[in-house]
Amino acid sequence: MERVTRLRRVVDDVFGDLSIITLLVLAVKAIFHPAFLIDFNLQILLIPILVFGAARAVLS
Amino acid sequence: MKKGLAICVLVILLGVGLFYRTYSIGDDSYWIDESYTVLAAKQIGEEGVPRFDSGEYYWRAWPQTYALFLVGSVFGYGHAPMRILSAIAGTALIAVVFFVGHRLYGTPTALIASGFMAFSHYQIAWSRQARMYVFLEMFFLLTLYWYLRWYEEGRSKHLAYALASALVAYVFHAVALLLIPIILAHYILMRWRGGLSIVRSGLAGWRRPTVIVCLVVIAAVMYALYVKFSGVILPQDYVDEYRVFLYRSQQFFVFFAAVGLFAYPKNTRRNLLLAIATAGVFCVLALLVKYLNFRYLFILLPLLYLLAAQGVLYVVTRYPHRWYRTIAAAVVVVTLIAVGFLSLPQSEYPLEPMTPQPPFAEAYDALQGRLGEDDLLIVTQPAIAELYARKPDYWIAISYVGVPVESAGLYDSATLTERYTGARTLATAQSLERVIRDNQGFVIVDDMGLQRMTNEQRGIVLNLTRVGVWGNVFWSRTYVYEFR
Repeated sequence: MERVTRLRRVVDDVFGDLSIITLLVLAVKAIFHPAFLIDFNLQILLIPILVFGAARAVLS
Repeated sequence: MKKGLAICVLVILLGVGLFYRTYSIGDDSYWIDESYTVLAAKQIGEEGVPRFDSGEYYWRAWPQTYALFLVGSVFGYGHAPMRILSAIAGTALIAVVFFVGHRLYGTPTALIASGFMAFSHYQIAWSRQARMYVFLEMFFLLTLYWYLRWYEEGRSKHLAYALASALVAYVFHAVALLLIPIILAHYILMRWRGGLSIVRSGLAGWRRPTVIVCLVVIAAVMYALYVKFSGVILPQDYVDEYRVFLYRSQQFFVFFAAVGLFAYPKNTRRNLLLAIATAGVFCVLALLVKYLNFRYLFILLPLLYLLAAQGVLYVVTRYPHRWYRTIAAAVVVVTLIAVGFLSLPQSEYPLEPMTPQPPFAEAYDALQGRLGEDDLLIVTQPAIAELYARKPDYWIAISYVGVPVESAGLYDSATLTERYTGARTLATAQSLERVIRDNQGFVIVDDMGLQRMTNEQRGIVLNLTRVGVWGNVFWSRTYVYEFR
């Protein structure tokens, strides 16, 4: 039980951090148009968001 | 959040939304599809029903058509009166999204989603068209909402509201039929254990007349739908086109919808319906519908915004510190401004890729006084000609629906009458050449018309004397040619 609680907390934290990172990445790309982000396929960010989100839904 | 403050913000959003949707609403010319709706409304005055001179009825979105007839009878069939109903409905949709968001997810999410709706470029653009899409979108959303209320609370009045909303949505557009598999998929997914037992008990009692009657009715409905849409529902692959369009035009919201889907575990079951609806509509459009029309994705925007609003709220309230929340909210607003979301109101909005919006009105205005009674009017968009000048004499047969003109059903091959106005069809280059050689008049075409003619037809038109070109963006220009 304790391990599940700990796992849930870790998944929660990662999901929360990912969502903040997403906002920052989108903001930097929209405001500064840096070359490394223009060429980078941001869609790849969706994968960890969905994976950790689903894990979060399962664990809660 | 205090109720008074929420109402105050909503009223401001509604005011701003109405302003954006009505700002210079009459400036832009009718585009092609608008001309069918407006012409159908005008025809009610002559025929009593929305029936074109060609004999074809236009029953799609008939409540809107009749309402436009009433508006047109009082205020005329100008751009602004014909579009104002959509603008009002588009503004009301902001309130509907607030209502749905408030009941399902709480006031802050509802306000954020309403804000997205108020400023969304596509919401504004389609709310300024004399077309049915904003009405479809409203009743599509309401159907999902009432179904969800019925599913959670089990009250039959909610099911009745859902059925009524679905019916109204279908009256506006057949795309609403997608609600059936969406709701079935959600119901089965959420109740699969119970669902299996229902199927088992149904099979065990298959002799019961009610089960047989139900099966017969379902089979009849499925067969009727197959017959009605067998020409439209065909295997396709527009996945990349729709995906790229959605990703590029709604990038911020796609990411935050993914976050919002799982942001609040207590909302996940409700969000599942929105996710199924989004995925279901996307897959059917991309894989089964013959025509590539980005506007059909429009019905997904309220769902996307409701999900994204949860994602934004989650990020902004991730930490309790006031400074964090202020900075996070500021970053969200600045990002939205930087991606062009919070722009100033415009008099013209591009609708979607590959939809031509030529300034037909300006071209026909310029022709006033020059178009004599003896002059022939030859066009590629006859309904537009009938609205801005008079019923055209000839239609140059071009396909504007993405399939060859012979199989597009745009004219009667026996009588050669065009589908809407009943104008005579010039199906070949020879017939076009003969009419031009023996008469005088004008040819009015747009970029799409020129592109979709045969090389021979195009060569004949381009050899005529060009009177003028209106518009300066490729695909949205009108050309007038004269022949004497």
